[in-house]
Order: sequence, then structure tokens, then C-alpha cells
Amino acid sequence: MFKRLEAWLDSRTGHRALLHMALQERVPGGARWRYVFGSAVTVLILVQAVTGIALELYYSPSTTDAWASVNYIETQVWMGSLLRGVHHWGASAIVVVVALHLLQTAWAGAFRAPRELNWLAGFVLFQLILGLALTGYLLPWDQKGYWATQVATSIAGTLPVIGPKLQTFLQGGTSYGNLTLTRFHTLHVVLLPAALFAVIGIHVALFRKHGVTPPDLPAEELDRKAEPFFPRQLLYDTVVSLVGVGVIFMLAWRLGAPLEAPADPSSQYLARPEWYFLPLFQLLKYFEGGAELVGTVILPGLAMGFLAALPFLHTFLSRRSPRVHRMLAGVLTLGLVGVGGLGALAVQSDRSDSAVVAMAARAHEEAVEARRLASLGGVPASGPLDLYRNDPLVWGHRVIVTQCQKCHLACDTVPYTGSPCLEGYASRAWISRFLRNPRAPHFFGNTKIDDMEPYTGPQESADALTEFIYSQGGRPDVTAALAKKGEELFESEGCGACHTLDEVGSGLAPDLKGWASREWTYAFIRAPGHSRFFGELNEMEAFDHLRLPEEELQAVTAWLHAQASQPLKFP
Amino acid sequence: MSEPSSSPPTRRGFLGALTVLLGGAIAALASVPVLGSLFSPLRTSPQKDAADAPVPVGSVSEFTVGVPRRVEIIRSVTDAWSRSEATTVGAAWVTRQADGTFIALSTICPHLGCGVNLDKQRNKFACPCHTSAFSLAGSREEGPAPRGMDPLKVEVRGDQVLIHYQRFKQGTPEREVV
Repeated sequence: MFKRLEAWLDSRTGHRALLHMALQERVPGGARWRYVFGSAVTVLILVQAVTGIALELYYSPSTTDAWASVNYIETQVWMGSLLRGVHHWGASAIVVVVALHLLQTAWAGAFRAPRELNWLAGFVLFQLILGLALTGYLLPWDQKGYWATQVATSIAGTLPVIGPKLQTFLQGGTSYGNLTLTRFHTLHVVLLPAALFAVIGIHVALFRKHGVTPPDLPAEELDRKAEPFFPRQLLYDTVVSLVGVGVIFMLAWRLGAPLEAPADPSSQYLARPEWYFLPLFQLLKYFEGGAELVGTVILPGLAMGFLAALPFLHTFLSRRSPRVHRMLAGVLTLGLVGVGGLGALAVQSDRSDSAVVAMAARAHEEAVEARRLASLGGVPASGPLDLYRNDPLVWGHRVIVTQCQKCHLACDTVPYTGSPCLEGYASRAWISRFLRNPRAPHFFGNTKIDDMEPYTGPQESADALTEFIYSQGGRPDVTAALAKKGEELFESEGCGACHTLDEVGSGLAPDLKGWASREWTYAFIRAPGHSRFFGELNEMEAFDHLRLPEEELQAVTAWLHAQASQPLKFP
Repeated sequence: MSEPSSSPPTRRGFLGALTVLLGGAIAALASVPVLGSLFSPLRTSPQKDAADAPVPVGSVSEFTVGVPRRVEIIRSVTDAWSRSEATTVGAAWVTRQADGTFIALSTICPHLGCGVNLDKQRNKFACPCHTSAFSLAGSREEGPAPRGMDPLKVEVRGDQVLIHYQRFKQGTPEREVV
């Protein structure tokens, strides 16, 4: 039954002959493990194609939706995290296996006649794969993709003459936006894959025409050991492909794919490309000022030029020494080792730089925070950056960092040279430390305000005063009796000589009625020079509605108010 | 050319079967996340969030007794990954009755989902697609619709008219919420 059906099908399609042609290709010298890499890359590319199509069902290429849709894949789509993980690690695996394929064919001398054009086709495939890798990691529109890809397009912009136009063309505008995403998306899922599969077709066709590059053995031995592609070589290819796909799966299962916080053009993000572009990144560090083109374009161009010109270089050199192909393969290998070394240097210099490590840690925290906020109620249609507005504390802190930390430095800055630092502001610890030493650098030591004398009374009294002042902020955890005692001390210890408690103020020192409450802080930031606050002593700029819009100030106020339950961050 | 030189037929068969097995393993591995994500929408249960909250559509005085008025249902919507605050999700014909109560009918035709109009001359609801017609109370009068228009629960809180918006399965005589 099956035989008859097959015979019927064969008389219509001729598939037996096709299969025979595919499987019975003669491998001179016999099957070898070292021939597996080309097939393995093909299998990995097919895995990328099917996982890419599945990802495409959920991905949305716009600046407001891209990050949200990728986060949706990670958190809501069944097996979405695994899917994205396979696509992510598959890209890395392809780069590794392509490098192995390159080394194997180079040492076999596959660039020699008559296979020059196939070498060139392979070179084009290599470029297309790098292009796919580069365009791919912009698509999530997260911090990493956004900032690392900026470097690549900026390099295009530095090219002489055509640079600026080329950059605008690639980006779809003078800066990154929706058009950048739609362009990179079209490149990544339509143009580059179409070109890739077309050139793979050429690469395989030329390979079938000339056959595998045989080992350097006598012709009769090659003939004697020759065997068809099926079964042994096909089995070898399949085994290695399965190992590759298995490793990718393990990595995807265990580690998933990274998703940083949403792209934020106003942030200071540590731009680092994927590992396979780190050598290029490292190269940029060595060429300063006017010489930067050497690192960005000329050296990489020379290296790629050498790779592409290898067949013709060999034709030229082999007239004098026929075995020069080994030397050329050696040069290529050394070059690859050098490229790997550059990448290792980049990794090492980042690992040993504590500032870089700290920035990476903060980027990780921000990613976790953004994804937590997204899980609370979806990403606003206006874009993922508005996520932060869902949470006044997170948003307030962002405003503090951009607006306030020019003067009010982070408390752990060493040495501390700023205005009073704000972490832990108005907590009991903050107040009691302040009473004992208002001129400490983390308080008013770096300002011209030095009128207040340290409080030198007994600790018991200091605690009562602290509780009283703390109670002004509208806190739920005030010990009433202690605060009452502090209120009496406030007068008897002479605080009232400068500080009023009437919401009007004297101009001598801030009025302390409702000190550090939301209302007090709000009014203070709007007009710190008001007589209710520092009056003529004031050094802080006033933040009016134009400098700090209402909703931003509300967020800042919420953040500052919450500091009373936070620990101090200075010794 | 020494074609099938090295491997005897049984060995070839074994190696071939092994290759098919391993190749199948590759395909199976790749299929897991691809098929999983492809069929993911079939696994998610219907959302029960803002959709259940009644939506204000106007104050009582805006409705004239006995005259249907078309109102849009505007509320926050979570659509896959994106949340929008004020999005039109549908519409309803709302009529204030003489006794002060309200009836609200979904504008979606129970036949095949076209938007039902008010035919002022005939004083009935008419579907422009397949000429179904309904009374002002929503009962089926003519045409291919399998049932009357779908009523929506109306609530009056003080001065405000609120509607519990729902969608129903089309094309069936029974009324089934989707």
C-alpha cells in the first residue's frame, strides 16, 4: 500500500532521484567529524527561523509597544520565555559555529581554486549573520539594545562624506524613534533573512558542485576511503546539530534571555554590545580624537577585506610557494585569536572597574523594577517610560536623580561636598544626628548656613526633641508622650529663639510646624527663600511650576516623605 | 566510484533510523516553545478585571422618556501588553422608561455582529446588514436574527446612569456571555 503510494508520488514528483542525489553525494576520504559545522549552522539558522516566526506573532515594533510586547512574551505567553531564550542563545551559538566552520574550511584550504566564489558566498553569509545579530537586539527597545545600537549607527555617522546621510537613512530620521524600529525590524525579519536563505542556496549549490575540500592525501587513498554522505556523514551532522540545539535549550531553560529596563533616552546607561561585538567595542578605546575612524572603520574593514580577498591573495602568493595556504590559514587563526583577545580585554576591564560593576548592578535593579511595575497593571499605551509614573516613589526618585542630585549628592558620595543629602531625610536617626552636629558635611557643612549650634544636652532630652520634631511630619508611629516632652524642651532649651511653630516663620530659621510633612516639603521646594523657611539665608534655587511640574513635585514629595522610614546612607 | 562501499545494508538501515530519530529530536525540541507560544491564547482564561465594573454613561436628565439614545461605553482596557485609560469598547441603546427605570440594549446585532441603528420612521431598531428589525424593547420582529437584542444591566446611582457592559455570542438563539 505504502509502496504503491510512494511509487505514485515518485512518478509525479521524482522525489526518489532528488533524495538519492542529496544522500549519495560522494565524500572523498570518508566521513569526518570536522565536516559537520556547515550543516550545524544550517540547522541552527532553521531553529532561528521558526522561533523568529513564533516571536513575530507577539512582537510589536513601535517605541511605545516594543518593550511591553517583549515583556508580555516573557511573562504572559506560554513558553514565551523559553522561546525568546532559544532565539537569543541561538544567535550566540550561530556566531560560535560559524567561527568553527570558518576555521575548518580555512585550514582545509577551501579558499583555493576552484572554490573561490564559494568562499566569497560564505563571506557574504558571515556579514549577513552579523547584520542579523546587530539588528536583532535593538528590537526589544530596552536599555541595552537602545544604547548599544546607538554606537553602531553613530559609527556609520562618522564616515567621511556620506556619514550623516547614511546615519539618517539607517535610523529613518536624525534620532532614534519609531522609524528606527520599523527599519531594523524589516531588516531583521524580511530583508536579511531573505538574503541569507538566497545566499545559503548559492553556498550549498557551489559546495555540491565542487564537493568537500578533501584532506591532503594521495588521490588513490581518497578514492579508496570515499563513501556517500549517507549514512555516516549525515549521522555525524545530525548528532552535532542535536548537541548544539540541546545546549541552546539548556541555556534558554536555565538563563532565559535578558530584558533590561525600557529604553530611556534621558538616562545614563552603560552601553555594552553583545559579546560578539565586544572586540569592536574594545578597539574603539585605542583611537582618540581624529584617529577614531582607524578603530571604527579602517581596521575592521582591513580585517574583513583580508577575509574576503583570501582566495585571490592565495592565487597571487601560491605562484612562489605552493603550500602558502597553510600560512594564510595560520594568519586567519591568529587574527581570530586576536579578535577574541580584544573581547576578553573588554570583559576584563569591565569586571575590574567598580564603577562599571555598580552601573551594571543598578541597570539590573531598574530592569527588575520596570518589570515589577509592568506586572501590576500592564504597560500604559503611552509607552513603558510612563510605568514609572504608576509608582510615585520610583518616579520621585528618578526626578531626584535628574533634578536634585546636582547639589544634593547621593549620601554615599566620598568625599561628601554637596548640600544636605536626602536618603533617610527626616528619619529619627537623621534628626538626632543633625541636632548633635548640624555642620556635618552631610547636613549643612557645605553651605553658608552655620547659625545653628549643636545640641549638647543629655541624650534623653535629645531623644525627646527628636521625637517631637519627627512627629511634625505626620508620621503614624510617633510616641505621643515622648513627643510631648520634646515639645516642652523645645521652648526650655531655646530652640524657639530662632525656630517658630506657627506656619508663618521668622526669617531667622525654618518654621518647624509640620516640618517634613508633605505640605511643608511641597511649599519649601516651591519657595525655599520664603520667610517661613530659610528667608535670607537661603541658597537653594526655587523650583516653580516650569522647572518642576506639579505632578513631578508630588512624586518628589512622596519620595522625600517616605525617606523617614529609610536608613541613613552615611557613616 | 565506489558508491555503497563501506556500510552493509543492515548497518545502513540502523544508521538511517538513528539519524531520523536524532533529527526528530531536534524538530521536537524546536517545536516545544514554538507550538507552546502559538497555542498560548487558548490557555488564558477570560479576564475578570475592569470589565466587570459598571461604566457611567451620563446623568438621568440627559435621557428623554421613551426615546432611545446611543451611548458609548468608555473605560480602561488592557489589550495584551498595553493598558489604555479611556477607550471606547462598545456602545448601547439606552431608553428611559415612563416609570423611571432604564433599559439598555447592546448595539451589536445578535445575528452576525453588525451595529444596530435606530430607524426613527418605523420607530424600531434595524440592522443595516441583513435587515433584522427589533422593537424598542429589543424583541425580535423580523429578519434572520436568532434572538432579540441583548439587554445590558443598568444601574442608577444618584444622578448617574451606569451600564454593566458585556458581549454575547452571536448567531445562536440562546444568550451566552463571551
